[in-house]
Amino acid sequence: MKIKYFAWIRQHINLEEEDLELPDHVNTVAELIEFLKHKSDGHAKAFDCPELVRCAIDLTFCNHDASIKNIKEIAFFPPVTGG
Amino acid sequence: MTFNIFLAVMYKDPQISVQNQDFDVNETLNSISPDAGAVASFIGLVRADQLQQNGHLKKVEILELDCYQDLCQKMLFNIADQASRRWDLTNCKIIHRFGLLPVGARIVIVATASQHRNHALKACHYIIDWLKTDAPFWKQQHFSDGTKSWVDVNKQDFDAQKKWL
Repeated sequence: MKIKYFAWIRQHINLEEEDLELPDHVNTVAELIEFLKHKSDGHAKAFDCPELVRCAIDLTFCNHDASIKNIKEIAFFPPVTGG
Repeated sequence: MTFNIFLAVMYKDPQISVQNQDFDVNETLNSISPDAGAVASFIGLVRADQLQQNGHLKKVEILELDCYQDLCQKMLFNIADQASRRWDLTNCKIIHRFGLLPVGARIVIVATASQHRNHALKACHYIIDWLKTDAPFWKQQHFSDGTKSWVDVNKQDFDAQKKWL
């Protein structure tokens, strides 16, 4: 699964994206966030406040209770500030 | 393309561009003017913000825009398409830039065309209010003292969006 990072989340993790094989117990966005927190100090800092983290699965915004089974791509980012 | 029987005008799909390069305002407006009686537009610019911190004033010199390009393209099309269905538009174009932009630079243009001014104006306003909360861009200010800061969401943007519901 490809995981993309944007804005300050990308800065903390120091990666634009990564490809990961996930353990069987990681089935939702919330579980993925919990898994990623333990990957590095940067990941822990990025996901320290999950309520500030938004996500999109395969180019569709989703909530943290969404399933990540059989998805191609998930992206994590802060609330948007465009325009 | 959608044929509007009442107006006997072919509505064209919204034109969306997410790009680093600057855009020409006249060229953008001219490109959507055929078949229109009214053209409305909004242009967003990099503001010369200043911040008082620890007793000294620092100025924004550069605004850096990060974006999730594929999702931006999709969301901007969806927002423009919604506006086109809610109001009678003959054409619609959104150009939104990303990358490093100096103070005064153009960030975004929303241009809407209709047979009637109310439709063009309201659709333009709707699009920019929705773009502010739904299009995946993020702004980071680069200050004159070398520091950087990510821009926080503005609650007023969500209040503005709710008006259209």
